[in-house]
Amino acid sequence: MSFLRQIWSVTAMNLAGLPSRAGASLVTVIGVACVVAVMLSLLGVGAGVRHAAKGADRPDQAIVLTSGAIITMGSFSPGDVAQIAEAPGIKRDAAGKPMVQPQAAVIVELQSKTGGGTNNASFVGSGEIGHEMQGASFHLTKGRMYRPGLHELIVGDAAQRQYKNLDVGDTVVLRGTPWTVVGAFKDDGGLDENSLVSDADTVLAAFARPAYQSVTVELASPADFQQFKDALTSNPQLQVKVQRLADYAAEQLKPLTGLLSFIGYFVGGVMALGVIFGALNTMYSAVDGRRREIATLRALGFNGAAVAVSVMVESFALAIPGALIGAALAWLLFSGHDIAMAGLSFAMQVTPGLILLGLIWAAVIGLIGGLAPAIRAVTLPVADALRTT
Amino acid sequence: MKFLHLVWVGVWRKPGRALLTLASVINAFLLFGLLQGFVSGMNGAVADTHADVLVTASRVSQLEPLPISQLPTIRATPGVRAATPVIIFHGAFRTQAAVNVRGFAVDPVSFDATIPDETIPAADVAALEHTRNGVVLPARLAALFRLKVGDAMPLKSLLWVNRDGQAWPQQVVGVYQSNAHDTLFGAALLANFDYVDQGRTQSNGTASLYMVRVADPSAASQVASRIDAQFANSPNETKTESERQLAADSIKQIGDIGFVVSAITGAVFFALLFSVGAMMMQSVRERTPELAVLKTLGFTDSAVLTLIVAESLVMCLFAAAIGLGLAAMLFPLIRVGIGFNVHAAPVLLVGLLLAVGLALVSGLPPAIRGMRLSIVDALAGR
Repeated sequence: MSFLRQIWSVTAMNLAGLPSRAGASLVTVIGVACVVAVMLSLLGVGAGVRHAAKGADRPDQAIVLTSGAIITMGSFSPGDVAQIAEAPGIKRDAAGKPMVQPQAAVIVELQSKTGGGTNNASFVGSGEIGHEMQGASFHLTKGRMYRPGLHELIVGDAAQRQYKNLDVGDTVVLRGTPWTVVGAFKDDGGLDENSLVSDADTVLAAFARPAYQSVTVELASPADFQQFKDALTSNPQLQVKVQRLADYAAEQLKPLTGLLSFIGYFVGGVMALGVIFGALNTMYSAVDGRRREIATLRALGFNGAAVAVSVMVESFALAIPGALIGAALAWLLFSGHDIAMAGLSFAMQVTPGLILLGLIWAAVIGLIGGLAPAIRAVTLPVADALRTT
Repeated sequence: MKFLHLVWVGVWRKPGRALLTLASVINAFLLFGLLQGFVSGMNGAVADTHADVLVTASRVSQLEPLPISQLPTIRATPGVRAATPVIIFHGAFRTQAAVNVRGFAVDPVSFDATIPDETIPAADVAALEHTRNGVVLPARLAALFRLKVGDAMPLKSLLWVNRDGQAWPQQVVGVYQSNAHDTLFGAALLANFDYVDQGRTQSNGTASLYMVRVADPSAASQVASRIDAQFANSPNETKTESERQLAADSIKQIGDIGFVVSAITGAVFFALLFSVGAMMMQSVRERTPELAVLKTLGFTDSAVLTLIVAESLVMCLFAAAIGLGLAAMLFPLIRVGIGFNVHAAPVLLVGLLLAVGLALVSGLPPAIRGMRLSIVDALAGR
């Protein structure tokens, strides 16, 4: 009998016997399902943040910030903005205006819908060019755009879900000034949807801020970045740092996503260790329970390796369905589930990549949990095993 | 008690299997201890805040500056014992943004009068008073960056640009033992209020917040509303909260950690229940003839039941003690890494109770099976 056929027949016989060991086998399935469900749910939070931040991933856009401080309360005067607009590499819109958008951002406290407390939200001052730069993904879902000079604002979808009093037509008081909510917007689930948006100059005036906080520009092409950056950093009248928008967003979110991945892998790793012990137990007792059967097979001339492979296959056959159940649980319970964390709201994502990771995790558990018992099955002294009752 | 040996031998009847089961239980309780320790530390941080300290910040948001002209009004408010202005300075040292140092610029003299316990030694506060660009560091930060008194420490502030250049040329004038019970200042860097306020490019003459100490802690909330009432309808409305409320809010803002931890713990113990239960069941099944012999010798049905449950109890408690012990040894790491002081005793107690529950639920079904064993059938191998 060829080696492959030996493996096939031993494995088939093995798996056919699984129902008789259902109790012990279920332990591995449940254990792996729990690990994978917990790990994918935790990592799904990080994946949600990354997905939400993807909106900023536009290679031809750059952001100009003040150097010397990490968050600034605003230090670009209109004169500075004019100088930035003269730098080479900036794209011009249909009307021939350079695509430069000075921005203001202030933190405001809003009434949270859950729990009754207040939470910090960002109130962004932008403008016509800024919205043009946000591209097709940015669109109003309700109402209309704000008008510059009036205390009108539009709110993101995620902000509307998190805070009270933000329906179109509502009036919200920010720093003693009433603002009218005139519209609601979506931007492909991006983090922008957590903010309130109005006209930059109106926001600065209302909050008594002397200067813009940052300047976003659209470049003629992504390759123009270096030229644009060099022109600004060598300008002695400006003290700025220039970053690609995507790099800036990644840097801002790195501490959060890094922490989330660490927690996910740490908890997933420790739990997996526990399940490996359980899987070893299951497979050892499976091998022990079939000592005579295995010895008989080997006495009949079956190759030891075929027996070992059949034990490994059984181990995988328990771990992989466990992983699928766990992934299905995580997906059903949490994919698309809204999370409010660190003042941001976003949807959790159990992505295909994560499900694959869960399967790999389960395969490793199956491999380690099956290897030592497989070796024991092969090294069993045939004569002794046949004699024992 | 005289059967303890019998129980112990029963646990170790198959050493390999016992070791693996113990390892998975230890592992689960280690994870439980760490997660629960983290949560308890977090709650403890809130409970440890001062009862008599209020924080006055802008009603707009915590980052909105308040004019320093409000300070005399706050000090004159009935019920206020002392008040001090604080600038949130949080900065980065040697890195661009990755490692942020919590930092505050404070007025040394009034700060010392306002913060109730000896968080920062008077000598360090005096040193800060005499060196304009001085900073006082918690020992943990000093060790992390290998800094000692006299060293230069150029800092970039998260919020403030220095008029003279890029980084703030600070100099270490004191190192203090971090106080885990003081969440706001216990592990933060302190700089000079005047130096930062006069040196920054904007918001000069403002404070990020005021720390207020009240004379009577039980009247704290009345004093808070009295302070806010004085600035109502002004361009700089304030919101005064107790330090405790503030700590609770900032933890709430991170997310519902309690739920996440309970969900993880639930999943871990759900899996463990089956693992231990299956192992006990198998052990009882294998020992059917032995149990029959015990009954033949005169052991009553309930004695056999007790014996098996005791076995499960001994194993779970033994493993849980090891797992929780390991977690307790790691608690200092939580303190150093995150700054939370873990209240170990309640965590360990809940862990042990959980171990008892686990043992009963996983041990009872096999024990009942052992109890119902009929001697004749068992000895006949049926």
